[in-house]
Amino acid sequence: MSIDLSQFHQIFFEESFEGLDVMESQLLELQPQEVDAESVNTIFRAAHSIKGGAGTFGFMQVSEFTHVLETLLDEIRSGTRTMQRSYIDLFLQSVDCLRAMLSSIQAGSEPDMERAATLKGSFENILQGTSAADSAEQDLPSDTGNTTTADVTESGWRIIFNPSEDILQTGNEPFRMLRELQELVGADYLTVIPVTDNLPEFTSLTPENCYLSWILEIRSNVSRDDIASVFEWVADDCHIDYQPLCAAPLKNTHDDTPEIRTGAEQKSAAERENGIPPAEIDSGRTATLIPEKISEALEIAAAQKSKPSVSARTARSSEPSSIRVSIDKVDSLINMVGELVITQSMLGELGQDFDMSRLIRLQEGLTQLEQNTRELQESVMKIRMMPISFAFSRFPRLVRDLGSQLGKQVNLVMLGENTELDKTVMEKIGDPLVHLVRNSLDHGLETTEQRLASGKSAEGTITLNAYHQGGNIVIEVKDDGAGLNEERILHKARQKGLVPETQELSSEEIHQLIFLPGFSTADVVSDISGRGVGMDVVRRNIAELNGNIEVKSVRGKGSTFIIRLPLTLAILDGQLVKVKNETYIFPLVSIVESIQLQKRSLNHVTGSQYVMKLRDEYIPIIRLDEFFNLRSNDEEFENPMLVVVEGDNEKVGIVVDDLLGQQQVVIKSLEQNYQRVAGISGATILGDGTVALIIDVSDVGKNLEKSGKGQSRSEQAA
Amino acid sequence: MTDNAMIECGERLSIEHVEMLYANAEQALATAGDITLIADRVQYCDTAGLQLLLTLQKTLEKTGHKIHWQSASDTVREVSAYLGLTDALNLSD
Repeated sequence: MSIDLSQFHQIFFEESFEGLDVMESQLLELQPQEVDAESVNTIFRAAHSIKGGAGTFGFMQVSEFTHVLETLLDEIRSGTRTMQRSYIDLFLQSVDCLRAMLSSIQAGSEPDMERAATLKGSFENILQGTSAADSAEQDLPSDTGNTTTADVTESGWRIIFNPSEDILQTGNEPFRMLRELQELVGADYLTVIPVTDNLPEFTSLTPENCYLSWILEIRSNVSRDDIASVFEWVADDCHIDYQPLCAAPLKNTHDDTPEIRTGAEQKSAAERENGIPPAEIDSGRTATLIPEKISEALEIAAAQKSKPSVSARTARSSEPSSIRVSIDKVDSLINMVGELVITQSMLGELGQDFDMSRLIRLQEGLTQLEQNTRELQESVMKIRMMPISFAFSRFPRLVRDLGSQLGKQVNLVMLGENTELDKTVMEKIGDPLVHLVRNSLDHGLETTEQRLASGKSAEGTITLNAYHQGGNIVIEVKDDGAGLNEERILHKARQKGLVPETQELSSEEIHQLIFLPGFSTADVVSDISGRGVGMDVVRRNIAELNGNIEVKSVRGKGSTFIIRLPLTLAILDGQLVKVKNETYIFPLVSIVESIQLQKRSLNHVTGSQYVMKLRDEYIPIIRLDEFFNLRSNDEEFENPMLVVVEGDNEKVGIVVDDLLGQQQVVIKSLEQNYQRVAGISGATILGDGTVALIIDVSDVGKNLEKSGKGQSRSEQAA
Repeated sequence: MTDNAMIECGERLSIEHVEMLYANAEQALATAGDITLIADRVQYCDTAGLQLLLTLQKTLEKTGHKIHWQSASDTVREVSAYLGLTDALNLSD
């Protein structure tokens, strides 16, 4: 029976992308001078898993490419080679390459192997010691002497192969590995010595467990990497110790463990003993050096073997799994459901034998039900919440690479990484954030020379900060750069005809100009920014998430972009309003203020259009009943309320009959259930069962402009 | 004189059959003599199977007994050799 492996592909891709993220973050933290062994191990394990999985699923391009970088990693973690800055760069490029390869394979297309081949060549040059950067940079020990753990030794290797106790149950069969090793080095050059000390009494034997370990002596100049490749699938489940041979044959130091050779070896061994030695033999050195090392290795092996095998499993299970929801959240949910069931059971019992004397208990039960439902809703919503670190994690790399590209020294500070927000919001905010950070790096931060000249430190700082504020999440992208150049922005805006020559704008209004479509003050169009496409898209994307963006900037001190987003797209904090007999809902985040509309403050512009002077600015007025054709044209306002909303950075006054309460509403898609309706972003069902439509503030404003009813601010002011 | 107990290893001397083999070996041990193994039909053999026989051999050695091979297939000899167990299992004869 064959297993359809394609069903596991998605899991493999997810885990591999996670592994690449881990590799990237660890690589970015590595300092070549102070390499943390655990970091290198973590990177190695991630690469190893990707390689293994890719091999299993037949993605050989990925597997073969990962093999070379894994080899270099292995040399670094074993101490054979020291980490260098150039290696870190190469590893990071490999992470990108692997990401692209996996994405292509996931999309069903052929990966770009040209880039992989180039990188693979670089790795092979390093591994063969022909890389110019390698030879220039690497600090090789001057005297390798007899302590060498070099990749290839002249005399060969002694390997202590001590599998975990449960290796046989995992389908990893030692005899196959030993067979493969024999095929690799040749039967004449391999001596296999089983270590049987740990075999229990027959009555204590668990026959599925492995109690054997082996000492393997290889008298060939095969590389350690090639040997390690034989054991790569079990590397995490075994203790494998590699010792370079000092040209001496192995003598068995364990009384009850005979020296045993494979069939072909026994003949060749006899030949060797009769004067045909395959290598130089120095029995004197063997007697003094080898037994100690072997005894030591065997003690470790025995100690590890005697430990319960559960320890290995525990170590593995503590690694991140593919579950995206923390178990605490699931437990909380289960707990809530339990409470709900209890309440439902209580109410059911009341209903079976109800009379008015039990009315109070019924009311208590219903109150309990309401509380349970609310808590359940909160728990369910929490499941979709993820820490914003998922969105932030891409920035260390981005800042590092862009900083190098632009020749700027940049320190990235990330705060509030555990602040949670809805997964969908997180996914959609990623690109706008990338644009803002790129913009801060490219336009915000000055060059090192400029910074030093203006009395600043050479290193610029970009700070990403996330925090909750009043039911919203606020994300700030702050830099300590030059700040917005208001004169230049205004000049550009006037050049492009975006602002009349005679019109004076406040600092805040000038800052807002950068969000206009096609606006850019960059002198040089680069692939980083400067095409004038971006900030308007950033604002639009954020608006689509029911959020908004503002910028605060001080010349010479820096700029801060402040994004406010709802925590989730599924639930909305809404202001209920009444128009005729209908109830509509405004997103609370869009409302600037609500006031009693005074007819005398309205200015008639044309037809049925009005504007109103609200403090220092004129805002267009829209009658919602007119917008939705709920009234006849000649109907007059009657003590209306004005809800001033802001969408796409434009304020609009919307006239409604009355303000009702504020409440959280669950958003239902109108498009999915009915069709797109202008000015409406969705619908919800109120407590009394009626449907209320949710106003799309931006869309109402746009429709006003399209219909020619709205007028530009400058026209109104004029 | 005690009769030698015999164990027929069947076609698979491997992990999925070691429980059964263990039960047979336990019975054979109770005869307190040498144990003869019949393994000419073995077509698949692995570490678990041979490890069980090795444990049996070591237990017998303590009472001055040992295992004999009435027959052993090439597979048994080959896998024993890869694992370095040929001598320990008295298969070198």
